[in-house]
Amino acid sequence: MIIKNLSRTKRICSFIIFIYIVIAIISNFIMPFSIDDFSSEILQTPSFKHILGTDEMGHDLFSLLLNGFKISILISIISGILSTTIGVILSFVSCYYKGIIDNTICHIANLLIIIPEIIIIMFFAIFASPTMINTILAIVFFSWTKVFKMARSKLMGYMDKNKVKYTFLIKGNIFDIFKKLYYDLYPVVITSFILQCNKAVMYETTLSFFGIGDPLSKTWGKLIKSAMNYENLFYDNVIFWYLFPPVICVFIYILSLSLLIFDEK
Amino acid sequence: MLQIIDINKSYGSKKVLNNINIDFKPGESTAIVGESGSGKTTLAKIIIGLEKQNSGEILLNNKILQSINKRYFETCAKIQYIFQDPYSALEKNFTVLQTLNETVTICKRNNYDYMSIEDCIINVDKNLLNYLDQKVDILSGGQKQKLCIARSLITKPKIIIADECTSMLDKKNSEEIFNLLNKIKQEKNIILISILHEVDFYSEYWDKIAIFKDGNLLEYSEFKNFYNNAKNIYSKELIEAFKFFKYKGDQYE
Repeated sequence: MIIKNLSRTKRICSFIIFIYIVIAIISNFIMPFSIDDFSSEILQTPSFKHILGTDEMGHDLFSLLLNGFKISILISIISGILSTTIGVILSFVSCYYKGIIDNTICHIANLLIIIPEIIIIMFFAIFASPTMINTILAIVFFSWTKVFKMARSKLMGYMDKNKVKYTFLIKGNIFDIFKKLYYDLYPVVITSFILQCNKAVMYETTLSFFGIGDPLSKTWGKLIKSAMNYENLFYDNVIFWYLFPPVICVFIYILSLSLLIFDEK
Repeated sequence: MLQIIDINKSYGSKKVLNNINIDFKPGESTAIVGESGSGKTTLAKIIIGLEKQNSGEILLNNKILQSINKRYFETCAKIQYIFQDPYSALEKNFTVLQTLNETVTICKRNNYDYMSIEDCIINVDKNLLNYLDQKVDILSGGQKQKLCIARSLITKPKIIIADECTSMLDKKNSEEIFNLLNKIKQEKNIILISILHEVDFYSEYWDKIAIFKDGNLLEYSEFKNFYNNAKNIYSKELIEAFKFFKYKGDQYE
């Protein structure tokens, strides 16, 4: 029923995202080799045994790529949910209480927005111990501001509506107002959730590329980094099965998520 | 009993209300008539507490009413406001039951005496009982306004302020609404304050009439006597205009 309302581009994009999530869920079962297993021969070309060949350590690249699906999508969804929730809750608080609370939250959000976030996230991730949770927290801490700004601008317009005024008149609390405005805020929440998922993957890939993230979690960014570190990447077409697959995976993921938001009929 | 004593209000340098004094008695309906910008809605907002007056006091049963933030739920719930536009006053994605349940939940939370949902709907319009599980969106304008009235009855109010509550409805529906408000007024012995743009001077809904002009209360008298015994020049003009349009209407018929 929902799918019928979507445009063709959005249908294709949501189908791609669906496939990504399915692969992420079943990746543990379809992985031909374990990610810790580097007993294969090094630098093999693609064959039936190793679909994308092996790297210079003897890892099976196809297994690493599948593992990337799992971890990257997990990071993107968790940090998307967290930053959207924090942004929406804070925007409700600032619209409900107004005055000094609203001012404080707005100033903090403005401060976080004017600082270039990727640099701060890098500092953050360097000084904290390199675990996946710290990476997620760093991403969430610097990306709730955009959700907050979007939701707050939308909510401020609704605070003067009669339906909200009625709830104020009979002394309803913040949850009653949340219930009333939930349906109006729903599109903003969904849009910013997708946007945050998109951003989280980009941040995570960038962090891994600079070698800052969790060294044990093999994400797409890690795969790209190890490919770029390999000296003879440009000989013998190694680039096609070493560097390109993770790059294409990231690219398609970000592109489909973006088109899901920005494609207008 | 609602007493309004020496209310003054100005937005910046513009004076909106100028020394207003009115006493509203229980079981009495008052029509407040005036042009746009004459300050009648501002007065209503001051009574319910959405605006704060510059000087003067409002007493409900000899207790001073504060602005909405400092008011207790009891005084809040005693004064109910019916909005001009029923479309914006109701959340259209809620069902009828959810809409009424919101008020009931808040009453329960504040340990306040409330009327059950069935009772308040039967008081207003029995047909609404068939729509309990439907979205508010599918109701017609008149039904929505009736739902607003039903919602305001849940808290067992002492005062109902209807702010141009029929301006978006047709003639038949607005008469139904006025009849309904009058019936409720008589049954529950409440103060009914109705803000009107145009008033039918032949109608029997109102006990008192208050004429506002540029923030001043020009005339406050019995509704029956007003038509024949208007003292003020502006009131006489109003009656002349009413007669003129009534006559013109009769000609077309």
